[in-house]
Amino acid sequence: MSHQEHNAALSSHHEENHVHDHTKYYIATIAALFVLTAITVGAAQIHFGSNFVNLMIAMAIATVKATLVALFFMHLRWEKGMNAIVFLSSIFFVGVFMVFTFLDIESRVTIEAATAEDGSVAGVAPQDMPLYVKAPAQAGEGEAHANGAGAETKAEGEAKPEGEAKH
Amino acid sequence: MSDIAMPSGGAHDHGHAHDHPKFLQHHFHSAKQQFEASKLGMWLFLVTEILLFSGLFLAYFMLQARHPEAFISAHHHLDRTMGLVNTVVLLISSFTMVMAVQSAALSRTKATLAYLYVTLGLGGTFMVIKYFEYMHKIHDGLLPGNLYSYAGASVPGEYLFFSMYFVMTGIHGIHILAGMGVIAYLIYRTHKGDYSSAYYTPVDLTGLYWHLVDLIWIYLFPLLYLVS
Repeated sequence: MSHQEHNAALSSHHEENHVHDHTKYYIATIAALFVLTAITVGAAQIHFGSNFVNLMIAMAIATVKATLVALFFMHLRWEKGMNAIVFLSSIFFVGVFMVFTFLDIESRVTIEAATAEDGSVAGVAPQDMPLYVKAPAQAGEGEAHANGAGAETKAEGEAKPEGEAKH
Repeated sequence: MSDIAMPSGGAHDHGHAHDHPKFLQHHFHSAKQQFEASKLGMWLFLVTEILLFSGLFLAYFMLQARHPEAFISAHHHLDRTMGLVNTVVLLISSFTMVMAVQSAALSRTKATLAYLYVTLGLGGTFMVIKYFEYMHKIHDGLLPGNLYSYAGASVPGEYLFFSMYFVMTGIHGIHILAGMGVIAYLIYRTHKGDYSSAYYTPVDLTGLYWHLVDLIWIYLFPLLYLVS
């Protein structure tokens, strides 16, 4: 650590802050991140049996990269622990959020299952649907692109007057 | 940040009951305690950012699980090379940011400035590349929701992918722009000579933020550009 004159004069409260030169750790971290990025791109060219497995491999590599960033660039490796506890508890709750929502995925209706012959979705006739889920006037190729910003995140089962039902 | 001047106004006011530096606020015992408290506050903010993005990631996973063909087909419209270049740009910027923090902590003002300028430039590079990607998609009509008007062959549901693409990269891009604004402010303050080993909290906290934004991109890149 460096005590310059003006700093030393500044304060009797100026405690030891133990700043060491970590450059070599940072260089190693960025090198590892580059290698892992290359591995991510490489792994995406290979088909590992199913999309799910590919996705899990990509997420696992991303998690290794994120861990390196958190440990070295964000200094968690050199800290006492409170910040790490805060960080990890948020990851835990993200996990709860994801797992419990995915347990529910089977209860969600697909576009195909919810759309009846007459184009109604889950009992709602096309003309009674909110404006933002209605199909646009120029339904060019007939692809499904009827939903507005509000409908596509979670409520996919409830709100799908999709184009493909009419074809 | 936590650099509000003391009511007495004097950093070197030796007549004052306590002889403490300008940056140290009264309710903290020491500069170190103030630094640790600021850091914890920043981590709590980062947690809210993680939770914000986790909702988007969850929406992405749900939609992808329901429309796998549409997502695979849609992601072919993304330029993998541009995504990879942006990943590398952001990783390097994280490295220069952490070097800026370390330089500030070691009172190496010139190096701090140099690293901050490079970080700002890399953030700008990221946004320029993002701009060209966006323009290309807007031109092709590869847009969210009912704005989707792509004329070529496509799989039903591709608009869902582009909804997630624009929302996720858009919010991420806003974070990059905000970070660039803060880094520009840090450059201004560093030029004024406000940061040294005694006090560099704003540089440190901005570093944490910048790394989190990088960390989110680490997940976005494979999810959006490398779906197959």
